[in-house]
Amino acid sequence: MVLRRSIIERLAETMHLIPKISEREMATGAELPLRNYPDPSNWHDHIELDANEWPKKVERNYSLVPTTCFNCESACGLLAYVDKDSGQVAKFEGNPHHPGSRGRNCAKGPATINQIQDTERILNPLRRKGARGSGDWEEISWEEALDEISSKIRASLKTGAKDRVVYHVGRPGHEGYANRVLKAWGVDGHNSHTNICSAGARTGYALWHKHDRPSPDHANAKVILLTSSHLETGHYFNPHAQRILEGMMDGAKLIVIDPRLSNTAAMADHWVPTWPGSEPALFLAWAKMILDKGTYDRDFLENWVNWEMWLEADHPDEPRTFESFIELMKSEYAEYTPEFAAEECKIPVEQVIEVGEIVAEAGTALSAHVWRSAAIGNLGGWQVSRTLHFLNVLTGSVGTVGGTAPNSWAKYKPTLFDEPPDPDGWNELHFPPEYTLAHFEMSHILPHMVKEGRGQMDVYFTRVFNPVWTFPDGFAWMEMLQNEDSIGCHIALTPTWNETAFLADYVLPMGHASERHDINSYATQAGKWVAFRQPVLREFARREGKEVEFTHEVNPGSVWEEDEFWIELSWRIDDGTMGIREHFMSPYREGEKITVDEYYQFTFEHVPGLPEAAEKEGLTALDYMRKHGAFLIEPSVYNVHEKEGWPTPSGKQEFYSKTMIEFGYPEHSIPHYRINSHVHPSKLQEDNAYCLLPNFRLPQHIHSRSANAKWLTEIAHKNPIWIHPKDAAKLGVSEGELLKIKTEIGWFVDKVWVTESIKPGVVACSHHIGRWRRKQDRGNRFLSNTVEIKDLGDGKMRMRTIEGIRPWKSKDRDTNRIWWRDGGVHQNITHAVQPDPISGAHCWLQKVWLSKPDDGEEYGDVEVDMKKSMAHYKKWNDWAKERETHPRGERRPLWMKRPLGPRPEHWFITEEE
Amino acid sequence: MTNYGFVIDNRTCIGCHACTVACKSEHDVPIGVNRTHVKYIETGTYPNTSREFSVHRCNHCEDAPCTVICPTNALFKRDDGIVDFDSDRCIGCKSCMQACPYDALYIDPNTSTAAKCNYCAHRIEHSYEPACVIVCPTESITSGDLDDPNSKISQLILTQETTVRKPESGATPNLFYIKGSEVMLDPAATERTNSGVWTEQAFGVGHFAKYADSRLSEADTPSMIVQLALEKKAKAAAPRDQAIIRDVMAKLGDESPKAKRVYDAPSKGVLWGWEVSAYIWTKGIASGTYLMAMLAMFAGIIEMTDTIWWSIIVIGLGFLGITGLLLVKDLDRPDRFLYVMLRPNWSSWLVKGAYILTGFGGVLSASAVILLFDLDRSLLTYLAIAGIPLSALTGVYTAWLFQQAKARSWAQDNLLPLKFLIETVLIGSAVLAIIVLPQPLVLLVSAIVLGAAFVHGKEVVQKPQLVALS
Repeated sequence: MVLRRSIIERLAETMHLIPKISEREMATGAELPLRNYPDPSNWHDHIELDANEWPKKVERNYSLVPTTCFNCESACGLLAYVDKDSGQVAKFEGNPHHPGSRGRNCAKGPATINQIQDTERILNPLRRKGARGSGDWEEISWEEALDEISSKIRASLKTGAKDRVVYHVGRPGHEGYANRVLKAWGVDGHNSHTNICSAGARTGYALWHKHDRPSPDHANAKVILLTSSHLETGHYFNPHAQRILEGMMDGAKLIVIDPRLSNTAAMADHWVPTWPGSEPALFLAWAKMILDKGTYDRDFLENWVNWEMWLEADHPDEPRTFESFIELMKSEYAEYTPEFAAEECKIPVEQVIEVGEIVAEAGTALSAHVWRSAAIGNLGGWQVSRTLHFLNVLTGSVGTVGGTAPNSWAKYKPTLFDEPPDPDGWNELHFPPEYTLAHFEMSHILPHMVKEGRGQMDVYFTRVFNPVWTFPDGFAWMEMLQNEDSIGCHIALTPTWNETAFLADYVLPMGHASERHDINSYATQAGKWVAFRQPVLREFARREGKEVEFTHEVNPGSVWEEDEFWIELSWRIDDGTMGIREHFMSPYREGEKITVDEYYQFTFEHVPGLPEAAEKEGLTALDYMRKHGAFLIEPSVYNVHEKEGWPTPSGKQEFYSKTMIEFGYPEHSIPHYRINSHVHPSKLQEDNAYCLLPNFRLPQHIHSRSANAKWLTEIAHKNPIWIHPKDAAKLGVSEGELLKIKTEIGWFVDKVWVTESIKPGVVACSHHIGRWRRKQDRGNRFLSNTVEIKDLGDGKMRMRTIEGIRPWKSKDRDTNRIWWRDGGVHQNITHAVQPDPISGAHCWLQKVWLSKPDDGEEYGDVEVDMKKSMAHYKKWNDWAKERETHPRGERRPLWMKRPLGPRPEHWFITEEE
Repeated sequence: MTNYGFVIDNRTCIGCHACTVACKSEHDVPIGVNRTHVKYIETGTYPNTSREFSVHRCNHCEDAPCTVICPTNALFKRDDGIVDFDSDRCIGCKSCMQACPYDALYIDPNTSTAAKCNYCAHRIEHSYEPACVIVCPTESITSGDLDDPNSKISQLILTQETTVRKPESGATPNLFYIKGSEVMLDPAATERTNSGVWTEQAFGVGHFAKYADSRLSEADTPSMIVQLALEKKAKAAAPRDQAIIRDVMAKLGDESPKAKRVYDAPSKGVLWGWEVSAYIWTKGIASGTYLMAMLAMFAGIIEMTDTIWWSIIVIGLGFLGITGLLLVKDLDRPDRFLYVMLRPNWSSWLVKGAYILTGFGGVLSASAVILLFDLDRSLLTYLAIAGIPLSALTGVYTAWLFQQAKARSWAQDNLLPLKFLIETVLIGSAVLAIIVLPQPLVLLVSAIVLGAAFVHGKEVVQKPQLVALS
């Protein structure tokens, strides 16, 4: 290509009046048809021109190393561009070999580089100096950290307690690693975030078939029915979005159920804005339509549903025939007319019928999904997934092409090199006896139970977990974490600061996505894959022929990875008498400590088909994964039940649940809408009482770990309260004005966003924004307000924003270019804990009272009455206690899942209890 | 021949911003500016509400106005259709930002030079697709050769109904939208407000990002331009222009039409500020005074004395000098001001204007030499034969420059050259009158004329810039 340049310019350059640039080598353009990614055979020798030097042609040499993203749980493939000259990662693209993400990513994938380069990240182990939360830290060596922490754990284990060393994890990001460690220590010490997330949906699905999550085959569906927003958020957002759109472009209809017009709902053929918690009424009305129209799948129902048990138990006098089953179902569900559903959902009856017709005609290609949304929002939210799956059962679309499969079918469970025995105890702080059907640990009421005196912990690890900010009633968490009698020692394992780490005794920096090892496998599609999250600089060093013993040798600062931390820590805990070290022995070198390379070598050698695929390339299984980053185990997974049946007591889909009857809930023996949500319109009769929808996310954020990603925070940094114009008019507020949102236990003040995208009577606020730090704290300045926390006495706590987001000077020039000031409001801290008595789920939706703020109340203000918070907990907790039933002394149904399940004898309540 | 373009498929775009971030990553685009971004718009009333997403960026136009107006060939259309740029040539005059109908350009705060989507030309060189294309989860962005009938992009255009933004711009854009809606593609269909659902839509972030280093942290307003002005004032430096700020604020107060802009990139604010309106006025004085004096002389209306000659020459050279200083001051790379003449793009009126100013300056300087060395005064008259057209062009050429700013309403104003000529004549007459008849009444009338011309010039320069381009 030629650049026009005049004689004048050439002359001026010759005379050195201006720099000589006009004779630089010109672009030639593409010589081949455009490609997306280089071939893996060239991944160690990839040459790319420097974008910022262009149009000067400056070549950069890269080694491309695959890993997986760790910004949500989807573990999409990433390809790290390691600059061979600097030895640092320059950018992240997608990994084309990853079967789930197929080379494509959401905004959070490429933003990983922001997190790696975060100028405020924690680079060395820290130990607190002053009181907990004083913000006074000293750097210590890893030797000190490991010695001090291991001796505390050893002391606890030697007491014989099985429930006082706890690992509380938000997103695990791995398969089975930490659970194996806990088993090696012999403790029932796994806690999770599940009961503020998927517990409601899990319970509804588990009642049907033990599998507690759905895996929809969107790509091949005829009708895609979402009670979720998976075109924009949540795992598995990117893999699902790809396949939902594929399905739609092939003609599938998209139905989205959400009181708020999410981006997903905006893409839908039918947006159904149901009143929160009314969804089961809608699904049952559609079930009735399917029954009445006769479009159910007789074959599936007859063979794979335990209808005979129902007839035997509830209709012993009726003929034991399929026809009578259908007739009895018709009369059972006759009450769920379209008019009833319309009334409950507050939508037009025409819409119930119109959309119902589409669902009824979906046949075996109905891909349905609910993961959180209404199932986690409402009292009785588990009914949402139970009734949604009922539609799959009726249409016979369970595990079919285009249908909805159990996620376990598509998820690979790795073979571990050593399986220690199950824990020899039952942790009642995690699985309290009154929550018999909880899925799973009752994590969100942990501080309340501790306050009640139900237990305490000697050593408490938090990892990818920030309950002070993410969980409801954050002040209760702060109170627990600050009480050294409740938590003997708190260790935060985290690459970046967060509100919970502020209250730790030790903060130990762990690697981001490209600085650690993990194995991933998720049910993103009707296929089974395994992926390898690897520390890319370690792999780069290996390719360059350098020996690396530990990942921290190549990580920034002295950042470790958990895998190696757990090995080293476990080794030190055992004084030679405790039998722990034997679970950390190399499977390849007799009597020696395992290395992380050996751990994954063993794991990948046992992935079906992987060693053979590796062999074809002349590689070991581990080297294959190092090179490609992912492996497709089975391209398609359908109708597995035809071989394996269903893992339920009946061996079938449990339309009729004897378990529910035995555990004290006979009214829920079959799918029904028997529980009205705590935000049912009948419960919001007072003036200015509304339903707050606080549990929706944004496409660019993950709850608590994206505040260090400048490109993501630039796109979204505030969380106004969505309100319908009619409600705004009623309250006399207009856009940008302040509104006081009073919850059961406190209040917060937010700005108003007036929009037609929210159901009247419902207000919404995203809980992805509103991060904070106190004056003495560090980190996340792209997205955190500076706040002041005051104890007002009598259990009242106040938080006030004293400064919004401010630019600052650092080695990254962008930190001084921050152009936003508004960091939003922390709303979760004002939410009351509301544990569902059956699923154990935190019911996120809040009954709120709206008004203009009083004098002196400012934007961002938060107040909570901790006495009220405890009282509210007790009220909800009593509902579970009132119905507590233990058939045969069982703590929970023996056939249902429980993470880190203890030995069989501990599943029963003993006499003295 | 290859002709690259984009198809963006709004049937599948989910507004996720993966492209925004992948682009930032690929090009290390600073905070505050974007090469590609996603606009959200909401329409309808509950429950018939909808939200639309559309990705906006350089359209790689067939007849790219930015390449015509760019004075130094820093922006250029390649043979393969890509509109690329060379930051080493850019002087930061921002004329490209005035010419681009799609608001695709910004001044990079790292280099103080113009930048935009260049189709990842550095990737194309090795036959790789742009970063935004490969990241897109739903494959909604298609790159490829529009002239190859078998390419995926050509097939999409052939089989789907596509639209372009602002087809009336005459730029012949090469970015096609499938299912592009009117409200989404027309910037006037939605108002820019001072707030998006997840963001503060700060005004003027892009262009003013370079001032970030000098800002104070006290000022706290979502409008960056206002904030910077306030802060500059706080630091006792010259405010950038309170009038612009007032206009921007007034604009903010307007009522929004029905469709609502829910999310957008921060706007870039007013690009040509008081320096540009002032330079029109100063060069009007320099050229108008000389022009009117010469016309009057040839018409026999005034008798030229050495005093009058000295007056018009001193005023001419003085104000021409100020004009030059203002022009250089307005550049984001004033160190490169010579490039305008030494790396000339002859299609740009910035270049032609620079040579005209130089030529006119030459005539004035030669005239001064004649007077200084007391040479034959008739030489002055001969010089005027060149001086009259050059002074007229000095007064008027900005009109043609403004007409090259295709994004602004100036481009539609066919009478603009005439208006500039009239203004030059008025300004010149006023100054000349003061020189020739320095009486109170003349002074008063002339002052009013000059004042009015100044105010009017500001209006002409600033008002069109307040219309949102995207």
